[in-house]
Amino acid sequence: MTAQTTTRTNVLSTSDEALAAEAPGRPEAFAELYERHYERVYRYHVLRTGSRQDAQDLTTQTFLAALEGVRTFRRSGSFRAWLLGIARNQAAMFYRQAYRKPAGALDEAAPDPSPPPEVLAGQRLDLERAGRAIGNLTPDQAAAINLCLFCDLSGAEAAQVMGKNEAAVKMLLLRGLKDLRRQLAQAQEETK
Amino acid sequence: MTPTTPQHQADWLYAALKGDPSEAGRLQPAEIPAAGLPEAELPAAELELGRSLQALAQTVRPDPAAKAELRRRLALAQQAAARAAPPARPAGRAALAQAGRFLGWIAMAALLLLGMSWAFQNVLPQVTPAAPASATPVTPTPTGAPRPDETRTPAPDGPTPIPTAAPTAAVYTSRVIDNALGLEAQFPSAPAGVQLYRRSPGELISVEQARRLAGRLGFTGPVYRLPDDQPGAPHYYLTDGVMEIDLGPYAGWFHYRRAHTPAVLAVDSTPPLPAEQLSVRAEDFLQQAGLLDFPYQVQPPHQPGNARVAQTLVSELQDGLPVVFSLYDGTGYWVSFDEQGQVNEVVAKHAVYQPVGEFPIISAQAAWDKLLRQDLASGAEFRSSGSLGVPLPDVNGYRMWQPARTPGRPADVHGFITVYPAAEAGVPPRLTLDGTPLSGQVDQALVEQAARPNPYFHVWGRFESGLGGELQINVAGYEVSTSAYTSLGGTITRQGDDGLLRTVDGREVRIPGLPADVPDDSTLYASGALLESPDGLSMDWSNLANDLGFGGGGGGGIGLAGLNLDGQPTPTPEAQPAEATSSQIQRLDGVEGRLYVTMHRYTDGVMTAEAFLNVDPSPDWPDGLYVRLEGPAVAGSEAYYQLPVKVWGRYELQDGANGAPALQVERMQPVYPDLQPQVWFGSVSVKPVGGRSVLVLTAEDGQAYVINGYAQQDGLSLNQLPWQPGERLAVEGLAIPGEQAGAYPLIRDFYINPYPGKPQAYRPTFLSPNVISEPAASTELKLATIKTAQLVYWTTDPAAAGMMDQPADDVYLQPVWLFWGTYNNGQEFYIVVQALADEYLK
Repeated sequence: MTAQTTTRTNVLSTSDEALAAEAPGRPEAFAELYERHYERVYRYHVLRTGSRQDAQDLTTQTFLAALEGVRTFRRSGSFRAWLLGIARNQAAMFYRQAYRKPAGALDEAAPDPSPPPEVLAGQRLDLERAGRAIGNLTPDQAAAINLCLFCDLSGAEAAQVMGKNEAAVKMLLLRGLKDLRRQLAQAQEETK
Repeated sequence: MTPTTPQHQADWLYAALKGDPSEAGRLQPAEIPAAGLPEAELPAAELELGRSLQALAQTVRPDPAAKAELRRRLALAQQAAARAAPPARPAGRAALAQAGRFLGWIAMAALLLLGMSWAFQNVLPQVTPAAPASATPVTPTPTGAPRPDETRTPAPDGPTPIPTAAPTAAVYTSRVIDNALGLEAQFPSAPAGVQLYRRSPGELISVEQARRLAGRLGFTGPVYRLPDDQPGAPHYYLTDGVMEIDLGPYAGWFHYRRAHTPAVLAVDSTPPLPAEQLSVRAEDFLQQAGLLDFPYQVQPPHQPGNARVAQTLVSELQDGLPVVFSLYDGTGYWVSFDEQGQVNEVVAKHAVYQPVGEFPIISAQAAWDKLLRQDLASGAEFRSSGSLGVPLPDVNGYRMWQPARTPGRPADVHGFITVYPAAEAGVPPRLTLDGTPLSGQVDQALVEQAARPNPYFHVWGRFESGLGGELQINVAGYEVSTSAYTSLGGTITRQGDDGLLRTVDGREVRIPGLPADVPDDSTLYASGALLESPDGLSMDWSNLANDLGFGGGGGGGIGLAGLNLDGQPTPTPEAQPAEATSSQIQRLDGVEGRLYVTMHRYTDGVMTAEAFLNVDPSPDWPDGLYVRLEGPAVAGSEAYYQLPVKVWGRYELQDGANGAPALQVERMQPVYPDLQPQVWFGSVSVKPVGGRSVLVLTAEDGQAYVINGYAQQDGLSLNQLPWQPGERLAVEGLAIPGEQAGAYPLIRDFYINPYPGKPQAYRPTFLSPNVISEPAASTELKLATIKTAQLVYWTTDPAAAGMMDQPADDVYLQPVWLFWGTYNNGQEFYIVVQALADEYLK
């Protein structure tokens, strides 16, 4: 048994919510939450921003904000939903700049007259088709797809993040996928 | 069977996507067939698409180095919080909750100022803050009545003038921001209570409203839609060739600015005129356009350190208080000036407010006392104009060049085409290539091609003078570019009229028509189309720059507390006592993993490398291992970036507030000394190998490989993956000699990216470790001095609210105390403290 596995044994079987309650006094509890949810938060931001770099920055901000606010987490709700709620707010802050829209597509999709030179050819994730199309959905549809499918939240958790009821989230998911399918089909037609 | 309703479909679809029939929430048990979900009733196409998206999500892999960097920052934040925490816990549940919320802020602030403050803690006099001033109680009086129309006149002097305070010697130790906090401001008086409002964005803008509003600023031409205009969020666009404006989605929102960047942009942030004169100019400009038809106040200009020469904020007033959502922005008008002091940019965002009721507020003194006592019941935001509390880099040396183009000369250029559809009948769409309008052979086919993703084109014809003298391209022909848009950085050497850019990865790229004022043998960043010819690589560049640019402001804060308008206390969780830290040390000898490197670039040009070892899960390491490598033996490890290495050393797991796990490396060696990462170009297919479906890359030389990262997935289907059949991909990875999957050699993949371009132009990611720009390590002691205190109405940016749901509290217009000041190096900061009485916050 290694040092790392020994340390993590205490927390691996603990629920997110119990860890969150312990996090203010136990740094390793928050570290475990970080390990569990880093990719989920990153995926949320990748789909939301369409930019790997922005997603990294926003993931950083999300966890720093979560660390700051973890004492305010109440065990009555899902930690995952609470965390993704922070992610959503961080993304909202990101788009505070005037007229900066949630792209839902990769950097290439919004041609910048002076893209940063550090964005190099061939280094971006290929989420463009999905990201661009999802970016054209209504914000609620896009959020339902992102939270339920990309972040693997349950309908109830997504509802908590979005401030809606679960049935509404499922309906948004259905309608969002229908619209998305139409858009993708249309795009495919145009490329023929 | 119950008839299928849309909600049933939604429930079934959700249940199928989540793989659990019991998740079909609204279905009664009798409605769920014994065999599971009613396949025939499922929306099959949506289900397939949903599953594809789920599979796509699994392909999103974060950069391990970035993850490790964040882990390190979190550990530092925890360490800082532990250091800044008071030795004794405050008594009472409410106090615990308040301390908890504020501790987070301390953590952030301590992060910002880490390493700069401890000396002050020891030498500054302890000043006991005054007892908090009590506000006269006001009984909340919710009002549902609509707000009466406001008098549309400028506010005479403003009800909360900012006093000019004589500097005082009062300096406080404040654990709030972990450094010395000076006070030079005098606190203004304030009413005992103010009205709270809810905000709504107002009506969507119409074409006619857009035309009228733009007309006030001199635009008379056709109205276009913005290319990314979305249903329910109209955006319109006009230009006169010199200036341009986009308007929407709400009436009264617009962005007016110069249509083109000058050919040479040399940043000089020195204000062209004193601030008072700029404010007068801003007011005159808006008056002449008839845009100041509401109560307003011209705010003192601030310099957040961006490229703009100077700026002024003309704030809306609500009940006499400015409406702001940052020190640098607010509802009303944000006005920017050029080097000659002329207005060159205006941003307008207005909103509509409905009264909620009058609520009691705390005084400025009480808010200040809370800052000193760090027991805020209210939330707070802290922002500074620099990043991480360190001065912004000097932007004045930044230069950016664009190609010099003149009417009458042949045009042969690459760029992104943007299509602006006309908003009125009979007007053709406006097409631009990197902002330059196109005329001539602009046909429907081009419009359709330009509407596709990545509309990067090669266009030829002639430059000519168009509307308002604006340079445009008379198009004789075009094609979708076969060259990719590329950005390169390197050292430029002048060769006659051209330049030769030697990039960091060893390529030599000719830069034709190098501007005369680009210094020889200097660092240069170039963007444009990378062209290949028998003579070598060259670039049809669209811009050159001597630096990577500069970022905006930084800061942090815990955000504002929610509103608790019924005044009933909310339950709060008990805080947990901190545990003693422990440390475990053991030796690791010859452990094998893959090396990740993060480069840190400091403002003085110094680059350092930080190395991490990633060990995949195995019987020895059931959870895997990701550990930072330290010690002299790590030097030069960047040469092994992404490669398997073996390390020997002392592994120290510090599981407390003392830092992240680290391995003190005594020895490191590559597992395969002769092995280098490679790039393969080809397309992928799914094939059965050893009873499993695996992803097979068929390279362009005909050799087939199994891609390791996808070999573990059962039931793999190509339509679950983000690539099209036959799509040309670049696959980066390692091929370890002898590693096979069936008859196929195995690739341990790092990245898979679609890449239609030429192999020679591809820049592998493994040549470029993640680079993090670090603020300069500053050793100067910082004194943060509050210079003004002002009661304002605070809200979020309405431009963000129109596009996404925000927490309900964000759509309120609430009173806050805005404390503004500067550090002793001149950098600005501000702190916002919610002014509502504690019982109305949660």
